[in-house]
Amino acid sequence: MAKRYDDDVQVQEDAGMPASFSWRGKPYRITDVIGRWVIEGRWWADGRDREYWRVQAQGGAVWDLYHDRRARRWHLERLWD
Amino acid sequence: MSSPSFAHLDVRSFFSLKDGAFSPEDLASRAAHLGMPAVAMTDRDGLYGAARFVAACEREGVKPILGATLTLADGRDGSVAAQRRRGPERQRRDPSSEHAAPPGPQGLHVVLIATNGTGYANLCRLVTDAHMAGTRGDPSLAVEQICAHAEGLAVILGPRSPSGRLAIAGEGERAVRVLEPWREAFGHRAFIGVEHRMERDSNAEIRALLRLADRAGLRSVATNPVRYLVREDAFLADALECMRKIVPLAPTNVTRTNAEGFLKPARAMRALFAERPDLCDATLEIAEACTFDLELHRIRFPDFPVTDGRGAEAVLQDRCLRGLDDRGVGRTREVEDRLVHELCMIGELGYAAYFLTVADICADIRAMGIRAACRGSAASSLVTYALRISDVDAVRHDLVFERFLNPLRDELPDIDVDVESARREDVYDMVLSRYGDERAACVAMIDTYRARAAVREVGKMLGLPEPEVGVIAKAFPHIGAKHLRKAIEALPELAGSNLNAGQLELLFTIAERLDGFPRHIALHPSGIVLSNDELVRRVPMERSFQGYRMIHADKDDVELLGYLKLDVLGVRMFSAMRHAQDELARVEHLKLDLDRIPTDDAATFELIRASDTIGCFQIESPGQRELLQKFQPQKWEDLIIDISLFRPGPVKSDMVTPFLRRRHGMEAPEYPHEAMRPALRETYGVIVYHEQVMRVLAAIGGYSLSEADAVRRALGGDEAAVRRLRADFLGRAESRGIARAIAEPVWNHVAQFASFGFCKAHAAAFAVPTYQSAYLKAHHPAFLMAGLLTHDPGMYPRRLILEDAREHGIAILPLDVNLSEPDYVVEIVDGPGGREVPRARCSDPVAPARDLDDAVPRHSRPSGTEASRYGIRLALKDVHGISDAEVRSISEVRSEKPFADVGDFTRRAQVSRPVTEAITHAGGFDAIGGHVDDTRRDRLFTAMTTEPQREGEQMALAIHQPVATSLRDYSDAERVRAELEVMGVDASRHIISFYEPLLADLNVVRAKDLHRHRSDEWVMVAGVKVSSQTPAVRSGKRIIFLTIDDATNPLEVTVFERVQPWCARTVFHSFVVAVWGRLRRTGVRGVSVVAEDVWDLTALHRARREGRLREALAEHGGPASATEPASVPAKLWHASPGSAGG
Repeated sequence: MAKRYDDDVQVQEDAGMPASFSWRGKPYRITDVIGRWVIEGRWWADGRDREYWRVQAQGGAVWDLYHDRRARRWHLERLWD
Repeated sequence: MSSPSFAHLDVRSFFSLKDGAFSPEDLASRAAHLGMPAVAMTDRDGLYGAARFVAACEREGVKPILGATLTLADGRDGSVAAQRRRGPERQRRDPSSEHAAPPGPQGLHVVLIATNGTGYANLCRLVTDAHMAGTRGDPSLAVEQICAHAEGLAVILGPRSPSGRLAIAGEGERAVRVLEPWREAFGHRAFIGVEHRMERDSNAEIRALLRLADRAGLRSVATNPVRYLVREDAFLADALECMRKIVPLAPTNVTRTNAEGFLKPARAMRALFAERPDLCDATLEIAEACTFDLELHRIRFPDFPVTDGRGAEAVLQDRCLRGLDDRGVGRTREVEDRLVHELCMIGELGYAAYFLTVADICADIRAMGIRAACRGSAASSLVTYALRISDVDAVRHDLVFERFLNPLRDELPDIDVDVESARREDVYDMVLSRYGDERAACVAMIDTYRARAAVREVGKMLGLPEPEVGVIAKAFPHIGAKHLRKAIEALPELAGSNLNAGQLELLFTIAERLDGFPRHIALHPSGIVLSNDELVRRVPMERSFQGYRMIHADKDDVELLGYLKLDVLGVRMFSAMRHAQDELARVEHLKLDLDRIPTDDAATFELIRASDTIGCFQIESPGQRELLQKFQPQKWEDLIIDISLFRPGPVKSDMVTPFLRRRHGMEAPEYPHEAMRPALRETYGVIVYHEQVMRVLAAIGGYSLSEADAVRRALGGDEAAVRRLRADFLGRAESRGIARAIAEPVWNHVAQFASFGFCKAHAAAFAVPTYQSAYLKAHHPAFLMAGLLTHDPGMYPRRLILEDAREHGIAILPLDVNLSEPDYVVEIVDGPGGREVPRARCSDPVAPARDLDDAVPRHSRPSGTEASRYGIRLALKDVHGISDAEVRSISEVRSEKPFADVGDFTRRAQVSRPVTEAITHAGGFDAIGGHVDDTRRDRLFTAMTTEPQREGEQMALAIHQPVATSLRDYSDAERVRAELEVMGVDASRHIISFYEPLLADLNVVRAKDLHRHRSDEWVMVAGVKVSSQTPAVRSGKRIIFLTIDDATNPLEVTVFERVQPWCARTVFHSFVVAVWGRLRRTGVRGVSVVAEDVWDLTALHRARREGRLREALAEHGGPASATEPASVPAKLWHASPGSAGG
């Protein structure tokens, strides 16, 4: 079951891809990148430019993280555990 | 190892109307910038941009690949059956698209790429078929149609193709099945298009499409659906999408989810498909396989059927010799040499068949009883005169053939044929059917976004309130969208708008970017392209709104594609003169052949010299009429000079003054060098014509006339080129023994005036209808005016022509349901004169002005207003709101029996009640028999209450006797108001006449008396607004030119920007105005008034009645009047005796 969040996460990158991240004080190591996509638009209103990464982390859970390219921050949006 | 290169094969430019966000030129240069070897342009259902794209690619060194994105008929498989099902099902969602609908227009699409000439011909045919079937503006094809013309085409079946949709929806087997016809038809040239759009479901979509390719045994190719060239422009795609769908910009209305649909560099495309480099390699293989070349610039002549094996050149020569004999041109040495010279050059350039073709068309037009004459430089030719394409004798008028045609010109000869405007469509039909669907078609016109339309559409898309957007849009002059911001600074109207800065900023950012974007494809007003049967194989066609076959090419494309174009222009004056001739034949049984009238008619020239030329072709404007008074033309050649002089260039550079002074002997003609005398003698040493520039260059620099024409045209170019030309000229002059001290001023003189000169041939061609219309006005004014009123050819509104008619003693006969015809007709009235007042009787010889600055414009009206024998009857067609069918019905019904009264009319004529009421209101029943004691109000009451006759109803029931009422009759003022409301003209009296007491109070100076006042004097003038223009001025400031008419003369008023804050509204929105301003006398423009303040005359009239005229004048002062020393009311009231308000 997927849960939605809008939490900040801290991500460490390696070679342009997320390698590990920490969420709510706990570190996670990324074991696999499942997907990557981009959402950009709504320039007439709030305006967004996000790069999404669907990753599998140590332990088997699947996470949708996105990099807000305007604010230069990472967020957790979804978690399947 | 894979090559680091990539070719984009799915690219939609702005010619995919409101979809792609870039021009073909920008595409070519971006592809070149990215180092791409080739790039395709595959617009939706059209090849509008093909010629521009190929030309741009040639400049940039990129290989152009031509293709199109074709829309398939709706349905899951795009079959014929599905196409038949269209309609009710169209709105239903395709179940396969519920899963991740790919972006872009809804519906099914495939991309076709032309690999060779056959393929391109097939593509043109398919695009044509897509447009010709079904409803206009909704092109689509069935799969079977495409597959039947697959030769030479490659197809890319991507995620928006039927098979792609099914595969993505998980219906792999059906997907393979619908692929079958494509595979059969296209074989190895069918590709599965795979996109990596970096959307959430992209990976799944790619896997589905690759699996499909495997199962079907087809190759895959990597594409990116390109709608913008760089990521930053993605916002434009959203804006265009919402504008196309006419919905407000909102997340739900935008299909784009990210900004990946740009022209990605090869490296980025390769990175996306890192696992399958073969998909990228395939793009290059396809590009390589495309060998088609559109071959721009090669001229493709129309076929001209030549009998007995003779060449077109020989036929042309025969026809010319015969034509000259028919025209009665003697075979002098000069004529023969000229003919040989022209024929040689025409033969050399290969244009003989073209001339014969145009000559045949002109002959056919005349055979239909329609007047036809060419305009422009084509009149420079003796050949066109001999072939009756032109009516100007090039030898007699000393015209230079090289101005029209020479080997150094890089453009095709352009023959524009003027025809009667009312018959233009008949001419179109004749030409198109004569040449057939495959050889002739109309030229398209790409209507691009200009400031107003861009602001309006973008504002609407942004969800701004429509009235406010309307106000903003209207505030802009007619300028290109890219000049928006510059214009904004000059628009005080915008300062007061309630829109916040952010919204406006967004609006202008988008609107500005739309500059040059096609808005829709329209019919070019005049162009017809003529070719052989390969036309349909090189250019697609569609049906224009008017129903004409129209090619996917505008006039510049036509030139690039090498087709010859014939411009057929409708000239209203031709129709007006034809109407005059027809009326003369009907009323007086006089068959007047305008081509055979004497060219030196004294009465005609007297009329011209008296500048009684309202309604005459080219010489009716106030400025032109003043020029006529000063110029005093004596002969035909003077008319040619007059038409050429009255151009912005000559006026601005003040060529007019020295010309007039020399003409009237106030100074001697000057020739910088004796060799220039022959060329400039006719204009006393002043350069007026292009032809003179050419001849001077030839005389001093020793150029051939072809070279001289090239130099002349280059003089308008950049400075470096002009400097080179100058050095060349001076060098040539020196080698011919002409001293630098002489050659240099000659060059300066020529260079300065080259851009201002006018093509003499063009002026000579215009002089023909100018003279003919003046002749008609001098001898048959009522007949010409009936034509003018019917066809409205000139700059003045009908009501001014009516005023002119009254001035000439011609009665204006009221609307009458039994006598009014669809058009304005002439009736014989019982005038005491018995005949029309000939011009010769009512004008005196006019002495030329002694001093130009003090030249007093003569009152231009004929001195007497003796009653003419003729009257002009108001026309039915100008009744407000009347339809053609209603006009027909009135004519038909009354031909059986005239209408007896309003009730009879209501019962018998098929005319709607509002129109019947309008006719009654305007007095259309006042003069017919029965109920003579009724007032117009009584009749209106009848019109409003009588029931029209219904089918099967008994007459007895239908007849309704109006109650014997006696309502008050209309007052004179009410009559005129009714005429204005219904007919748009003040037929019985000039409207200004109602304001006479007010005009007296205001101390208004009438236009005819203005010349008695000094320059710079403050005056009050008043009149009916005739026209207002706001031309773009180089300074960027807005100036309003207002023409008003006070029943004595039209008068020019200039409203400068300074006073616009308090004047603009009245100027634009009032019908009758009073203007306070300074009198100005300026060269050829004559007397004008520079406005300081403007009032609505009706408001002043009301105020006067209420005894508060003074206040009304004062309150209008506006913000600046406090600081303005010439404060209006004080000055005015000081000078105005006995005012009602005082």
